[in-house]
Amino acid sequence: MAVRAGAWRSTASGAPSASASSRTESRSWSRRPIRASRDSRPIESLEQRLMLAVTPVSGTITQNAHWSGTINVTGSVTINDGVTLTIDPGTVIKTALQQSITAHGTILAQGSAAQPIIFTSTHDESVGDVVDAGNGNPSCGRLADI
Amino acid sequence: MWWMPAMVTPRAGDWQTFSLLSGSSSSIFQNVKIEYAGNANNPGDTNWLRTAVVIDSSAAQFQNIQVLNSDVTAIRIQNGSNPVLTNVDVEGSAHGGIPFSMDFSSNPALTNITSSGNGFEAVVIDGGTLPGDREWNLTTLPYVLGGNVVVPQNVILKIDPGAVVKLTSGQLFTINGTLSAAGTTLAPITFTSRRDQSVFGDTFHAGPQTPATGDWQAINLLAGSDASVLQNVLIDYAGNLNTPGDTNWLRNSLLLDHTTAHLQNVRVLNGDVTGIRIQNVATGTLDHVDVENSAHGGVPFSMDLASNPALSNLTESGNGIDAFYLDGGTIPANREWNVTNMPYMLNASMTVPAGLTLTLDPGVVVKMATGQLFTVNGTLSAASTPATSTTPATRTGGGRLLI
Repeated sequence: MAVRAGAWRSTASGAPSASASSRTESRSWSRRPIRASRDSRPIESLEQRLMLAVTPVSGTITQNAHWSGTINVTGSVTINDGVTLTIDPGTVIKTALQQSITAHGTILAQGSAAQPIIFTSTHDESVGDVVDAGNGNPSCGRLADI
Repeated sequence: MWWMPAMVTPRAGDWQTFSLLSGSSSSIFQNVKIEYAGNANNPGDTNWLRTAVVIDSSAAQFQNIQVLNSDVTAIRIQNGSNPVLTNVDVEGSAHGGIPFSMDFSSNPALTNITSSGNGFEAVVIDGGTLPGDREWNLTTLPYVLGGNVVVPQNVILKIDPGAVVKLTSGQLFTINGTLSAAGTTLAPITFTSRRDQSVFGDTFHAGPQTPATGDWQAINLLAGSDASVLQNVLIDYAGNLNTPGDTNWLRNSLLLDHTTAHLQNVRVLNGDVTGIRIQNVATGTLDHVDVENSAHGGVPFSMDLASNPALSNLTESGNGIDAFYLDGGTIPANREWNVTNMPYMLNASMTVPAGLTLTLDPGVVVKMATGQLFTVNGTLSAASTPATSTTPATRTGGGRLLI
């Protein structure tokens, strides 16, 4: 993950247009149903894959789901009764301002000492991939100021 | 580095709440960190503070968990939740945030619960009436109560060795069921003032504090509490229903009323008045019970004549009156007085009626006040020598012995 993040930052800093592309991709993904993020990631190019390492989620989870990589909770997430959300070790869940995660169903979040699962803020760039802060100041935009 | 540090740093309250509700009982969290939650609006907005992790009607399991930098209370357990929390650490909760808060309807299994850098460092339990048996087992943090505690009939509150309960103004334990508080010599059970920093340090981050007599109210062992046991227990700074030292609201630190409770190696220190009051046919045992430094003229022990507990190795020092205080009146049955580490004092004149015997063991001292009368129509047995007409081992003071 650290390698991907470094490469992504390099791309964003050198090519501001890629930043816009990243935001666009994120938003289009947020409208898609929640699903296994790794399986659905395009792998045609390093640049694209890195942008999609962050999976935006929001709304109600009505079927068993699987989170890994960096998850961006852009809107509150509810896990329905009878549904299981499995979160892989090392997953970082970054939740946006004012948003919540509510479980009426089962969450299996079994990290390891070496790969803990982290629920944190969208502003937290110390772990996982950088996500849109959800505050009108996307992280890539900030990086473009450098 | 080619990139600058982030311009926006994460803050407590950057997101709202992680809630585990009814239906989430099969959830398992292991090696999980939850950071920066706790606000429904903007970080730090005190009108919209929210608990970071809510466990409501859930028996989810948590192991090796950190909840960090919440905007207020970190973990709340409520509404009949029975979660399992093992190795859970809470740090950095803002706005006076509580690391762990729970209601009485919940019964979590807590093991190795720790906290630092929060509003205060404790497990906070709402007051109220226990709906079922409970065990307070934590020795890594003190317990703090949100209100009075009632243990109703046939319910057991078990407190494990080493547990510390820090109490505040007027707080009271009413025991109509069983209080099972069996500490050990090395790990006594402590009930003390929230200002007491001699155990678990400055729990409330209040700076240096001096606890006062009467900082909390009392433990009352009442009818239904016969099976209660207090062993290696310290009861410190109790004795006032209101504010410390308010002489209108002085209370006994420990009350034994209609009970056969068993006390052994119990110390009652710094009460606002009487240390231990025994009344209404309390017939339990008090062995190695020490009372010190009772304020406002407080006596270490006070008892009515209806009660007849087994007393052994009672000690006291530094109280308002250094004596075993007895209500006056007429003894209702044969009695033996055996306390020799302090004198008996009578609150009023006393009568041994015909047909009954009062036995005074060797070494017993009875101190009487001016005008008090000690009337024997039955038998007064002193120095183990039965006699129908004799003097007690010692009688001092201004009263008279009438035989």
